[in-house]
Amino acid sequence: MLEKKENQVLEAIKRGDPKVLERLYDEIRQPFLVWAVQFYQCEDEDAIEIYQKAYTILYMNVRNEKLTNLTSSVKTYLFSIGKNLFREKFRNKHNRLVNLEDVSNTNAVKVEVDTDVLNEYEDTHQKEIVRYLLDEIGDPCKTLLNLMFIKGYSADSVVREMGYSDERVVRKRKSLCLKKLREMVTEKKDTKFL
Amino acid sequence: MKNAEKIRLIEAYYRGTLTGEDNTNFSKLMNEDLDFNQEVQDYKSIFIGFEALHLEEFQKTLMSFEAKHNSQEKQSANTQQQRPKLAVVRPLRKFYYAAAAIALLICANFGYNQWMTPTFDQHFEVYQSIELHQASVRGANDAFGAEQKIKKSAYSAYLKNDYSKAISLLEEYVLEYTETATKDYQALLVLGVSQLAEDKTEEALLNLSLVSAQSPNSSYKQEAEWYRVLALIKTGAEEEATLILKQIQKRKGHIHNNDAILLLGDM
Repeated sequence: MLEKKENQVLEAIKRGDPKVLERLYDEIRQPFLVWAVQFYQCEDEDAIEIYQKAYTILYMNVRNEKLTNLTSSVKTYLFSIGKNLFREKFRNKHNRLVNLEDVSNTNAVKVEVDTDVLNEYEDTHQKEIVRYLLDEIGDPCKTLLNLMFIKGYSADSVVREMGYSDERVVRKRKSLCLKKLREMVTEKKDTKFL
Repeated sequence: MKNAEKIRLIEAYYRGTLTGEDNTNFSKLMNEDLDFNQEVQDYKSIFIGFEALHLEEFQKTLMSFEAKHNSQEKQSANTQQQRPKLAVVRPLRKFYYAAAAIALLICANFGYNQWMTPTFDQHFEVYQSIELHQASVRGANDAFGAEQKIKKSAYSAYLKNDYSKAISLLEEYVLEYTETATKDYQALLVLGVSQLAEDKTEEALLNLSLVSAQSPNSSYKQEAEWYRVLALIKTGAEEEATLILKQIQKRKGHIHNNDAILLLGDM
């Protein structure tokens, strides 16, 4: 029963449902901060920073299908990520804590926690390239790609937002816009922009 | 294969969500179609850039969630400042006293050998004379009952030397009932001792430090101080352990006063 409920939450996270994301953030924030401040003796600001990082990792792992079902609660999973992040933080501060076991062995409910996901997207250069290309490509492609890839809208939501007749049209448009971006990338490659 | 379908595969590839038939088709195209290979390369910066921008957008959303909490907290702080100071009513205080009276008697009996180098293994032993006067477990649907049930199972596992199970249950208790659990020094002490028994020394140190620093109950505090010393010895922090042992040695009424004297002698 719990599993079913938690997996419904995962589905909503994957869809990027803003209401569910906000409710979940609000529900778990306070216990997480109490736990973090008590157990790791950190300042509120540090606890919030770790909470946001843990929450982002949870979201990215669900979005990229690294986390597809849960046998524990979302809260437990989030705390496990937090625990891992605190360990990393302390590991950097104190050499004494270098030889720690894998966090997945020490959680109340054993969960596989992937916290590397954020490192993959740290390259700001790639962001600047896409920002530049979107400015160059102009509307309607700019708006459509922005909604679908950056804001995370579904095709259905784009239909409503941009007034297209149906999702099929949106998908076709999306494909054409991406093709256009690729052409721009190829051109820019020749000018050594990329 | 249509262009839109190829782009869909490439998008899934860069997202890391290619599975099943899609995965097979993608690999097949990569092996057989040079143009597709080039296409995959061309889209690399586009899809990685989009994902990075999406992440940035998500983090902005989190900041907006947080801003809401900040303004709520400021408002509540202002209200409290304006409110005249009244006598504080603590309806649960009796409960806390009762809980404090639930004595956790973890008695450690150590065999000392003065001619040997003191090691953690020589001095650490978890005894089973732990007396736990559990609050009666009410209905299973009741939140209080569920909370007590987890603790009861954990203590029962502890008494059966199943420290791994005790840890698992007590960690679950901490995660599920964080606000209560972070002030439940009895549970944190049992968790710390179990972790010490299971070689999870760094984690044990965190819990034992918390109890020894914050527990208002002197027996939990003193037990935690003692086990913390043992944990420190185990991690090689003997200087810090010695300082604490000397403090315990000076406190005649400390539960582990004699143990401290003997251990210091060994060291």
